[in-house]
Amino acid sequence: MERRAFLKQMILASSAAGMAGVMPRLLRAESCVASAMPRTLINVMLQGGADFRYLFMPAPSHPDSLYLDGIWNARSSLYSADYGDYQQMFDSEYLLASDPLSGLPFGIHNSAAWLHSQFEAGQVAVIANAYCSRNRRHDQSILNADAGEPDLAQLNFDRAGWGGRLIEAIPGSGNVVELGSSVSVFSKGSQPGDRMARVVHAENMRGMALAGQDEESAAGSRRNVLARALNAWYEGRGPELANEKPPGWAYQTFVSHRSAIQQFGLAIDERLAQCQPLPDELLNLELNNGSFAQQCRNLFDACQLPDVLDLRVMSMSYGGWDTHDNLAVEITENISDIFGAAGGLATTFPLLDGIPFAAQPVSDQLVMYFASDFGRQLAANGTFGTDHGRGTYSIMLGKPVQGGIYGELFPAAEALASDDGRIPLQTQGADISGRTSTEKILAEACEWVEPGTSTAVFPNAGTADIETPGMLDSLLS
Amino acid sequence: MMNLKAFKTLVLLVGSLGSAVCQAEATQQHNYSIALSPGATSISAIENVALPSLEGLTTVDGKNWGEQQVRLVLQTFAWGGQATDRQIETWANMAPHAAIVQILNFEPVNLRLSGRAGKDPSSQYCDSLTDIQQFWGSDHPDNPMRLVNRPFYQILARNNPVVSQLNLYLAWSRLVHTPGCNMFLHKMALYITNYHASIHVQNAGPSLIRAYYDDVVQQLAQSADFVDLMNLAASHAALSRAYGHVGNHFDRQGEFNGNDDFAREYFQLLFGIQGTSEDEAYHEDVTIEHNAWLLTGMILDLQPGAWGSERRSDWLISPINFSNHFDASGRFIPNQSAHFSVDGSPSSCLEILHEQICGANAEQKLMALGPVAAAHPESMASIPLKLIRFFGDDRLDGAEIAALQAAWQDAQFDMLAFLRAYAISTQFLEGDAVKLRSAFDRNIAIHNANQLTTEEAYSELFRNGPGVRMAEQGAQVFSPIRDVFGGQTGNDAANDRFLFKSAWDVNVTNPDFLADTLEPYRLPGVDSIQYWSKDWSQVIPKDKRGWHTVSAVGEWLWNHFIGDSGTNYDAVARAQVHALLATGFDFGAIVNEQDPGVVYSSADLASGELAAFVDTLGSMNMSLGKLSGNQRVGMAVNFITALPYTFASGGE
Repeated sequence: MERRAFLKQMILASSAAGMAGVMPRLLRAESCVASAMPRTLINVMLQGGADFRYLFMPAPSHPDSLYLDGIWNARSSLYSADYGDYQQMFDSEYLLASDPLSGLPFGIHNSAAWLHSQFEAGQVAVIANAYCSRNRRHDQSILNADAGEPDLAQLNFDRAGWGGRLIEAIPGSGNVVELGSSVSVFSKGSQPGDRMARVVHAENMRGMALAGQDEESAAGSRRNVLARALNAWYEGRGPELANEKPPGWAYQTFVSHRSAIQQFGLAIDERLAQCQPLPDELLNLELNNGSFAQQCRNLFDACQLPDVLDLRVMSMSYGGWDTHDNLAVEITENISDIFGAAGGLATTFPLLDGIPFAAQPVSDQLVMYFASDFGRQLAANGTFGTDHGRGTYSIMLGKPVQGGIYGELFPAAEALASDDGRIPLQTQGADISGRTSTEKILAEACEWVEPGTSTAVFPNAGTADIETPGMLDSLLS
Repeated sequence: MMNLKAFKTLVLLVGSLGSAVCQAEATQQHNYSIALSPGATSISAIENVALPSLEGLTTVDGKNWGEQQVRLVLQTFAWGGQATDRQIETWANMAPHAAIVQILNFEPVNLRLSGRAGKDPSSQYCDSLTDIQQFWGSDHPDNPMRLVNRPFYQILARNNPVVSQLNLYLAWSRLVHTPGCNMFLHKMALYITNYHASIHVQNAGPSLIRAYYDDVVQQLAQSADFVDLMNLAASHAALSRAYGHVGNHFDRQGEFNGNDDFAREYFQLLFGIQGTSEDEAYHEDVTIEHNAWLLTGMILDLQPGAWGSERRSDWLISPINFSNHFDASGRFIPNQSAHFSVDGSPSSCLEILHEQICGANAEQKLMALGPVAAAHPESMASIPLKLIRFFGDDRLDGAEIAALQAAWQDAQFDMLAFLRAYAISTQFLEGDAVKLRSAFDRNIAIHNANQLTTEEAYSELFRNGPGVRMAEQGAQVFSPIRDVFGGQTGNDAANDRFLFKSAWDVNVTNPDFLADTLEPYRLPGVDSIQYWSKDWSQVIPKDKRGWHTVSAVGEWLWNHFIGDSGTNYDAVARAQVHALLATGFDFGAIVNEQDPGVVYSSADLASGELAAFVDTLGSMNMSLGKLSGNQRVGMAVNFITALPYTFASGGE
């Protein structure tokens, strides 16, 4: 049961017992200040190891028939047993797309109809054979991805993420805005003991401020008394403790939380009160994953006030990609939520175009990057799913993206005998062979956000693996 | 230094002498602790026996063991417990090795730790969520639960004949602050089922996950042996369903059909083996692959109508019957023939971790594999760190890690011996250990400290326990945020600014939650409405004059909720607490009613009129027998528990 569902049940239970719940109040507004949206990168972490080989499949007209036979034999159990052959399956499950760079036809799963439309519009790059880690362990690989360090072997989450490092590398100010329920390593900075110094945690953009005094209540109401007492302590003792206590003092984190929320919360609430309320499309957005729907609402609101947030990097997440069994059902729900015609992004992005802007339209200034722990094995397992692999596809989306396929989308070698005589598509345990380090890909993203930052964020990018040298040079414009 | 083996021998010897007041906690090989019969007052013979020190951990000197250390142990390992001040003083005056065996044990009932209100009729069900749900939801004449609450603890949902997930949440959230029930035992069970060998209720279903929790509690009560516990988890029906190896099997052609999900996580999560210390190909292709083969023939039985539910998934039952058989629904369950060894021979073996793991079925092989996995160097290195990072310290350094690994080696898989030794070690009590608190830890500890009597425990509305606040703050039992990778950690909580905001907001906007002073309720068979009222005078001591002065009450409250002996009870906090207790208003408001938002620094309050005013407030007498006095205490509790010191402990 999701937290939201649990709390909803509690409210219903309370109502049933004669106790009304308290519903949040939406802020209303008349107008919104038009702000300049800076170039902003949104990292979306798909936790669990997304099987993007399910999202992208070769077209029946794929030039390598050996590959086509191999992949169908390897993965046919993931699809309905009613399909008589690959053509029938493809026609039912996939939307035909064509790589604008090579002309290669391939399929994008029909649960990702919006992604397909964006690809056809030239705004999606698929970087094949990418790797963000060298292992098959969820926790370690997510850390590798968030840190942007594929070779990191230590499982230590007290570490800077590449989003945090990017913010630090940008001259002047700037923040990572975390739109999900917890702050990931991706967003954290390089200062031990104060890694959230440049993080705005925007789990609910419409409720950012701390509960303070209620002006409609008497000064002596219990709420107002407690709000004043606590504010007085934090504001009185906070600065003193910062001087008295050594760096890393355990409780400083919570003093800082209060300070950060106080700083941003009121400003955000006040500005959002001048902006349009959440559009009905977002208010009524219902996805399989309620958390992602909320993140989409937060994304819209964050784009309404980039100046208040000092926006440059955002972080979103979506869990539930560990599809060892019944992959088709689970992954289709996930893909629909994110990339579907009625999914979160398809709902949010058109609304971004309605946000007043000072220079560039909001959506011109956004690039999304989709990361996951790792890819999955090539062949289906015995429970209609796929087990952990390593190599995967990286997906980058946005108007600044030079859309197309980068790297060999369906490597011919997967259908051929390797050095040990085994054919990967016929071998349990074989996975996508990683040829391009995500360091190379993300370094390009950093340069787009702010020229000159990639070296600081990805110091090893220069020597990192790339499938074909130079192939990413025009990834972003 | 007495080693563990010698200590066990001595304890067995003492036990055999038939002491009138002592009884062994358990007779299992790995369980050596001693507990008092309820109500007993002296176990001097046992307390003089040295608890075995473990290699690497030095027991704190007696002169450095006192009330503050006892409170830190209680806060860290048992959500604060519900021990009386007198009991805490008694422990503080005992030798640490003697006190710790009373504080930390796995008896279902520990009246010293959580028996503030005396014997409770629910105590006999403390070792089973199933039993306590059935008791609290029943019309049993001894059931102390208020009438309106009872439907929210029953096994089945109120208006739907299916096993209720919501009621399971509510029951657990109440169980962990029920007088008498051993809060350390349940914190350990939470660790095992929601962090270490974690599964999610949406994957296992409420019936099976409840069975898993109960089985873990009862296993702990029998034996603190890590291997036994992991064997239980690995072979449990709930894990088989949640991970999906329930469907793994060998077909008639001898082909494996299944996935390697739990085959991998068995090593990584249950035993901390990542496979990084050996050839990766061997780990992937032999150890994990063969373990996937081992985990075949683990189909669950179906018992139609189980729990009175109409939902088929609720009919899946535990334990797994590993033989070929027909279940109660008439299905043939081929757990023997679907297993790796199609002939069922006991000599059927698989090479895993470079050892031959033999057994006729999955259960037998898992029992054989458990000790091998536990003794693996990677496991020996990581398990003690997992335990201590959950219970005691989020910031272990290299030397501390080495010491814990040595202690785990010496503890011979005895988790209780290990945690006891750590709890009274200089590393924990005199080092720089910092424990960041999850929303579980913080909210349950606050609730334990705020609950004074048995009547309060049962007159409290079902929604007013810590469960809802924990859920609001991202900690929902049996719904770990990382699924098999576990629930919200202290680090997660500390990194979640919205959790802090939520904690702040609820104290400010809903002060009655902690400051409730009067609750009407009904019990069956009683015509009149009963009234529970808060009475802090029962627990806060009076001074020599028989008064409850504001300053003394403030200090007591600080120590009761924070437990640092006043280390962080600074002048600014003191001014607010004095003002709230003396007047019910904040300090700013009573200093300057026209401008109550003025912020006063420590320097402002160090001397002069303001300092004198704080002292004057502190010298006032409180009437804790009246509701108004108790309401003021409640306001102070709201203030104190929204300060940073309830979000972490240690590190001073």
